[in-house]
Amino acid sequence: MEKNIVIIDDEQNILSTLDRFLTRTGLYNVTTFHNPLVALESIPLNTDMILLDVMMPQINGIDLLPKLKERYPSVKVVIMTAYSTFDTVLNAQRLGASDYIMKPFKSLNDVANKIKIVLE
Amino acid sequence: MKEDKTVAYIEKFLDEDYVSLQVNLQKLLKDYERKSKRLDKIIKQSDKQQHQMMRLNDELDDHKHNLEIKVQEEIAKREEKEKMLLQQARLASMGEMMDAVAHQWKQPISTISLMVEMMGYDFEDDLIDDKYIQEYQKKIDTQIAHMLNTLNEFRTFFRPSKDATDFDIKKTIDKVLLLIKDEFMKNTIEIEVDASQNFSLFGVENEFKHLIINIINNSKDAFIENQTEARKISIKLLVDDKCKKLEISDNAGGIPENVIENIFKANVTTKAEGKGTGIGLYMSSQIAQKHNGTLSVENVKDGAKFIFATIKR
Repeated sequence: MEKNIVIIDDEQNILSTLDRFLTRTGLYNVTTFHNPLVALESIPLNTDMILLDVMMPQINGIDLLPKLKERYPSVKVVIMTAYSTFDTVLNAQRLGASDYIMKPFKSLNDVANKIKIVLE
Repeated sequence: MKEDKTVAYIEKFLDEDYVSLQVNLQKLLKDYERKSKRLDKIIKQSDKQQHQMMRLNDELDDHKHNLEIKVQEEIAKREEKEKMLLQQARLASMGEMMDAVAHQWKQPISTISLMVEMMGYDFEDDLIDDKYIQEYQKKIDTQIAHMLNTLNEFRTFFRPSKDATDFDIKKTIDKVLLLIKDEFMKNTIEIEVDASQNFSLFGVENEFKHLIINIINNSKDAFIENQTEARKISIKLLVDDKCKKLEISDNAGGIPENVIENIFKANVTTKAEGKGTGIGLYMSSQIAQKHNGTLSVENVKDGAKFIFATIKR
């Protein structure tokens, strides 16, 4: 059965590439949002996992994370960050993130593997 | 007989007078001697004092000369220190900017890398045709153009240009924002620009960029230090009959009253020890003067407002 993944990132090219790649695997049903504030209001209730970018203009991922966890407490959240500081990662985990992926990604398969591990 | 008496009388009179004259002359002589001695003494004393004065004067000249040397040395030391501080501030600023550019590049590199990888899967799926290639090329060109733009702006920013020209202040602000955008986004700082009353300035654009960046970087540091929520920086351009103004205000809590008076002096910082060079706003103030303007600051409702003002010509 397909898992439902939501991707929140302000970069349209990243969104569409991840969407096409993950859909192509046949394992996931993907919904994307380039505006994090819209995402907060519109995430489908059957979502299994959220891939959340940290750096976005409207609200950063770290600030959005507790709001998402409050509304969707059972959904696993993986943050995508270009800022690899220990503090950022620790803070994200403290706020409820299950894991993190560094940007730039090593490969699309690396993203898929991370999703698989977290969902298992 | 009568004549003899008269003669005797005159002789007696003359004798007495002579004696009296002699006595008086002796007195005068003594008085003269006494005064002469006193005068000699005074002259000697005066000579001595004159010598002493000459000696003191020489000493004073020496002191004056030494003092001049010391003042020159101190001025040279201070100029050297100021130069070092400016260099330090420049390097710190360069480091921050390099960091900002590196972060700016992560996004397009990440995008290009993903798109190129995806192209392999699309090829496997037989999705690649002319239209696909054109679209991909366009998307990748956009990413590369953004990277080149950032790189060029970074190179220009630190190029020591001395050529004064007329420059459009709104474009200058845009160039600064292009460089620092990601860093400010990372710290959730919203920057609002109202350039409806745009104007041009005569001067060195690169230097003026430093004036802007020093001010907004200070706001950023204050936001972080004060853990301000809903962080906002407003940049506004204003033109009236007399002057042109650039106002930069924030809601970072303002500048302490005991510091605000001296905020444009060198070595004054509100930041924690080791975090500020205390030279940024001093530099900004110097740059403002070089552009025939002044830089002032006032505390406003939730923060501080910096105002660059120059007379309209």
